[in-house]
Order: sequence, then structure tokens, then C-alpha cells
Amino acid sequence: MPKSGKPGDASLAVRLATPQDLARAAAAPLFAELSGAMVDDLLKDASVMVSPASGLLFSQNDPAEHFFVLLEGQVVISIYREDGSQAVIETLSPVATFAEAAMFLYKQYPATAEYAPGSRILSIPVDSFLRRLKSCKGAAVAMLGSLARWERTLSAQLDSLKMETPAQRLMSFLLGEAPPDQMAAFTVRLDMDKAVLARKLGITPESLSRLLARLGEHGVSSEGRDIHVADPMALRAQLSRPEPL
Amino acid sequence: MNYAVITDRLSMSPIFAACPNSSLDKLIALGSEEGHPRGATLSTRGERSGTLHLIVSGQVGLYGEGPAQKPRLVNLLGPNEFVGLAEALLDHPSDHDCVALAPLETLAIPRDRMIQLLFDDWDLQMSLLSCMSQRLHGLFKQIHALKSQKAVQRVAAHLLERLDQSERSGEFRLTQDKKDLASFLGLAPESLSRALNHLRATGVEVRGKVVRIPDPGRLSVLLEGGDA
Repeated sequence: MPKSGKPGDASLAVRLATPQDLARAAAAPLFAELSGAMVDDLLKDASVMVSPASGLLFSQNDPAEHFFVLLEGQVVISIYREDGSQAVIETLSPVATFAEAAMFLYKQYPATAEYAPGSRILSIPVDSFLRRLKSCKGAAVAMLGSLARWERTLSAQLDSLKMETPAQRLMSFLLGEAPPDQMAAFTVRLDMDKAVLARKLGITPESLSRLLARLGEHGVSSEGRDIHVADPMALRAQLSRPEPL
Repeated sequence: MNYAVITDRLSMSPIFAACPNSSLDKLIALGSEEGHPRGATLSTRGERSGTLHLIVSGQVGLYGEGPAQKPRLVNLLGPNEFVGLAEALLDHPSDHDCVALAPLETLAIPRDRMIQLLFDDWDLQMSLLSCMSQRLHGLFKQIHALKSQKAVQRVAAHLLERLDQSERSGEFRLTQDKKDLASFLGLAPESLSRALNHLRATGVEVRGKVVRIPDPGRLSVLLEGGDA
């Protein structure tokens, strides 16, 4: 379990949020149905954390005194077990809010969050946010809509984990990176290590390598962070077979 | 069951604990009590529902479409949970068939009237934000289990959770058949059988749908990765 890099750590610079920060945060789905003025009001007490190095934002079971918006960089949400092994729950890319569930219900973070080098994160104090949310008519209902959207995303991820084999999950991931009617070859440039992709798919890095090799006969090849799909139609056909790989 | 009993039950759940009775009464007054037999379908995949159900007692299974268009149980909802809340908030069709796994009592609430009430009631808004948050947390937990736990640990965790909810000491009755249980745990039926066989060494007995766990401590040890 990582031990250092908490807010306040020397590598993490904290400053007041600028109007540009708030404008970028407003693009997060959680605020999608709020006016710019509402977002500015709700985020009035927010600060911004910037770090050139990677580090730990919060640990599982820490009191949830802030929730966050990832403005730049990457944040990995995971659960660490007693033996130190990690299960990645989500790899976040900008612009994304996180730790809302902790704010509304648990009062503690249910998972651990770590940021990548160069990340810029908006930090919002929970107490002031809820106070402002109450006085801002319509904002809470809009936020409910956003949580509902997130619920459906997670629910679809869960369905995939329960109903699809690892090979199907990999094929779905690759095909999901192109438009649904894509017929020509395309290349997926991963914005994460293959090890992170493997964890996201719920498999080991070795299994991912084996699966990529097996998909070779269906026109999939990889080099570094690039995965090339030579024949999307054939891959789609493979995915929809009753007894796929 | 009368509305006062429903109010009492809801106010005891963590989600509605901070919600004053005046708000709960308004919510309950919108709904009508409904009884559903085992196997009844509350909502159908791909269809919009004008009604959402707050479960008073019983259990609802959410079925997705697995390989070869076969229905697969992917999630469970229990008392004080809403069936179709996300869909109602977004006015989207359901992604699942929602089916009563046991005789079910619900409060059926018309979607439009609930949304109308929601706009003017901060306490209800906070309760539903908590409700959605709890649901997200439940999904996080299941995703974590699927990504990190071995089959036998997943089965042990589920049995312990069901035992905690049981009113009888040391045993409970499964509400679904083994095929559905395997689907819910993300396992092949053979893997579930192997895991249950493995758990016999910890004293777990499965007779039909009745599961007996004489020593839950041994299951907990196994869950933590030790030898039970």
C-alpha cells in the first residue's frame, strides 16, 4: 500500500482555483446540467493541487472531507488488500469527478486514489459544497442525474465482467475505441500501461499478453502501447459468436 | 402492511435515516402498495417504465442477456432499494429484466410525480443522493470482488453476506437456483460446484436451497486468504 504523497506533501503544490480551472471542471458529467454560474457558486471554496510526481491522494477509510475533479493527468482508483496487492476499480481521465459516493453516504473513502505525474486536481471541501448545494435550487436533482449515468456505466462494466469471457472483454474494449460502424483497420493508442489495461479488464498482464497473441489470428497485433485491429468486422463477428474465444 | 409500517421501516435504513418523516410521508403517499408473486417481472429490458418500485420486502433479480441470448442473473436488489431509480431519473429504458425472486412487496411510485416531488424537497434529494451513492458503492464492491477474488472466496463472501441477513442462526435459504447463483457470482456452474465442494471442508452444508454454516469464522479466515 502506498504511504506517501498525500495533499500537503512537498511534491504537491496547492493553490486557489482560477476561473479557467472552474470552467474546465464544469465540463465534468456531474455538473453537465448546471449553469456556469451554479458551478462557480458550488466550487467557490475549491483549491487546485498540481504535482510533477506521482503520489497518493487519499487512502481507503480516510475521512471523506473533500471530493475531487481530475482536470489533467490520470487518477487510478483501487482497493489494496492486506498483502499489498492492488485491484484497480477505475482509471480516470480528465475531466472526471470522483469520491462523490464517499461524500453523500459513507463519510469515508471506500477506495484509494493515486495520481500520475503532471496531474492537476480540483479539491472541493465537502461541508461547504453541501451547504452551497442546498441553497442552489435544482443543482441536487441535476447531480442525481449524473450519479444515475455513472451507475449505468458501472452496471454495464459489471455485466461485462459477469457475462463475458476475458477474450470478449478485450475484444469489446478494442471495438469500443472505434465508431460502431468502423469497417477499416484502426489502431488503438493506449493512454495507460498494458498492466493497467489488464487490471481494468480484470485479468493478469500475462493473460493479456496471451489473449493478444490469440487474437492475432483475428487480425489483432500490438507493439508497445499501440494495438492494431486489421479487420474490425471480423472481430465483431468473433465477438457475437455464441461460443466465442 | 400499512403506510405507517412502511415509514418506520424506511426510517430505519441508513439511506433514509436523516430524512424527516414529513418527507418520507410525502414520498409514500405518492405510491401504492403492490404484491408480486415469485417470478413476476417488474420491468423489461429495453422498455421505459412509468413506475419505479421501492422494495419493502423480498428480493429482485436483474437479468442481462448473456451469450446466445440466454438471460443471466447479474445483480440483486433488496429491501429499501429502488428498482429503476437510475432509469427513472434519466428517463431511459431499462438495461435489465427485473424479476421477483421471492414473494415481493413494493411501493409502486409513478415516475413523473416522484420527480416533481423531488424538485422541492432537499431532504429527499439528499436521501436519493445517498441511495444512488450506496448503489454505486455496491457496484464498486462487486467489480472489485470479480477482479481480485478467487471463485471460492467469492462464494464464501456471498454466503457470509447472506448469513448476516438471515434471521435464523447458522443457516439461510437461497432465493435463487444454483445456475442463477453462479451467474450472479460471475462463475460457470461447474466452478460454483467446485467452490461449494471446497467449502465443505469448513463445515458448509448445502441441501437443496438450504445452506448451513456452523462455523462462519472458518469461512472468514478463508476469505482473508488463510487456510480455513
